[in-house]
Amino acid sequence: MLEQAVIYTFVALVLIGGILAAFSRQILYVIIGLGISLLGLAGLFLNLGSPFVAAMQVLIYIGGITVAIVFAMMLSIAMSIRPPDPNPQKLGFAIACAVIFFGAVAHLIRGAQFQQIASPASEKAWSVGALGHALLTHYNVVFEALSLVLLLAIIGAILIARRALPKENS
Amino acid sequence: MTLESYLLVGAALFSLGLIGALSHRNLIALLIGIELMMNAASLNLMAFNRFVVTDPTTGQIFVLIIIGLAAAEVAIFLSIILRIYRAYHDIDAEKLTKLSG
Amino acid sequence: MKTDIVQLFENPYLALGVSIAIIMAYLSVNAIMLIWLERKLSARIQRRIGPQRGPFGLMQQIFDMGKLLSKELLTPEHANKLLYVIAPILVFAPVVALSSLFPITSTYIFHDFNIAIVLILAISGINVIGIFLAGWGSNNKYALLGAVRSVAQNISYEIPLILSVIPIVMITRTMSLYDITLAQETYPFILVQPIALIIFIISATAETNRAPFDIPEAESELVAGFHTEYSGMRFGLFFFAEYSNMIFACALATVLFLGGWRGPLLPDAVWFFIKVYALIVLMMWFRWTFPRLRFDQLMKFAWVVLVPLSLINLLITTLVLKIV
Repeated sequence: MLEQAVIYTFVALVLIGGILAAFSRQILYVIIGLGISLLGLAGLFLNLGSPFVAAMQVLIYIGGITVAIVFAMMLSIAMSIRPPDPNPQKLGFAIACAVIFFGAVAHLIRGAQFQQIASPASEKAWSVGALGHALLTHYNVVFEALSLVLLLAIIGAILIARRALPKENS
Repeated sequence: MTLESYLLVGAALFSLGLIGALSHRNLIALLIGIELMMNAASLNLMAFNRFVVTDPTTGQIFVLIIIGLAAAEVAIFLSIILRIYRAYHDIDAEKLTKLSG
Repeated sequence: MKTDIVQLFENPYLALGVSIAIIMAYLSVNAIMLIWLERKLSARIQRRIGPQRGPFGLMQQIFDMGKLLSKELLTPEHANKLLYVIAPILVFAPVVALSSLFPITSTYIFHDFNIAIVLILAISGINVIGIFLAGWGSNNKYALLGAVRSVAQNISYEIPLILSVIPIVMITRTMSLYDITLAQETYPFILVQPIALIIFIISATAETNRAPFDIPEAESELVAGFHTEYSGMRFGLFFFAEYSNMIFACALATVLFLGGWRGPLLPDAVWFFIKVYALIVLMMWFRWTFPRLRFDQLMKFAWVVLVPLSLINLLITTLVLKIV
């Protein structure tokens, strides 16, 4: 019974964070909404059987990406001090799109019949060891490609944000 | 919770991210909307991983790759935002219209 | 053989309540004792005597606690009330949550996770957000500057911290703290990974904002950094969080590098605490020996010295493990 309450708490965190992030005018509240939503999502991942992915979500998203977004907000502070007035037509159009999308997907989910497996796989298949083994044997190429993408992203980010050297005439 | 409820939560999060991405003027809020949409997709994948898939490492690795790619994308997006701020001193999406027309 | 606290009290919710109570009690007493230790140690290092009221100056702590508790809780006028109040909780909560993972004795532990190290590194990343909210919510430019510097310092030193823990995981092939302590049967890992221990202690000192890396909260630099506007017990909570973080980092270092509860004659728990407090005395010794680093020196040290060093250490460990 308490487990159900905990699961619903995590779902509530996800949705409250999403609402904060979608409708706030102050940029710091949008970022806090993202943080709350990611925390709730980590709880849901834990409930879906994988504590490792939940820990990675907290480590990378909350510890890394949210902090980086906070830094970018600090460095581009002009717009965060005086938030602009919302444009009601834009907000109305966005809400209409979202409602149509949600309606379509909910209809699809209601009508679909998924081939669910009878019981979850063994304890060994869900362990971190199995994950590591799969990452280095079956999904080897994806792993290496991801590390290459991250390297390129770091180099690209440094190059784009670099201040022009005084010797260049641009 | 059943598979359908997880998928509905994922769809709700995706639509909230869509509202955020379409209606905000601040570029950082736009980025956050896109991040919420990616997270909704990973929630869907983890739900299918638990209820439908026989080998559970597939979904987990998929979600880890999505998290890694989101990190790379945020890095590039933020450095572009910094560059734009340095050039125009403003990150309002409605004012940055130099390429249009 | 180990006994979980959950196996001890059959009901898991009762076990949860008892473990929270034990940890909070221990951390409170510990913070008070560490403030006294710091004052006495700093006094002796500076060739003076330090607090003298009561035996060894211990009564001074009681008066200090009374002073902190009786101070008025001022809130600045235009501060963002919600963020201002939530920030100390966010800085303090991860430490309390994670303190139950340490194996203090060989037979009775709180709980044993098989991904303990990843959990520790992940949840201690939430401190950073708390520090930023404290700075922003205070509506004070000095607090904000201190908060931004502290966040930059924290995320820069997180990388050598994580990279110095990974060789240990590679050697023992497990991420559970209990199994890592068991694996140090013949020799503690300080003999195999001395550089990793040095990098870990330096990064931990920087992560907890202790000298010589205490630019964000230095008294002579930025008024008081991100906790400028906090008074009374809220300030006490930040202080409490800092000392709890210190003991957390030292406990992690003893479990990973010094062999946890192993030792010849005394019981397990006593050896664990002897090692933890020895490392804390080392961290306090740093504070009163080294001058404070300037902020750009601090960042340069992290990125130019520590990160390559920890990467080279990781590479050498991989090669040795593969070849030997």
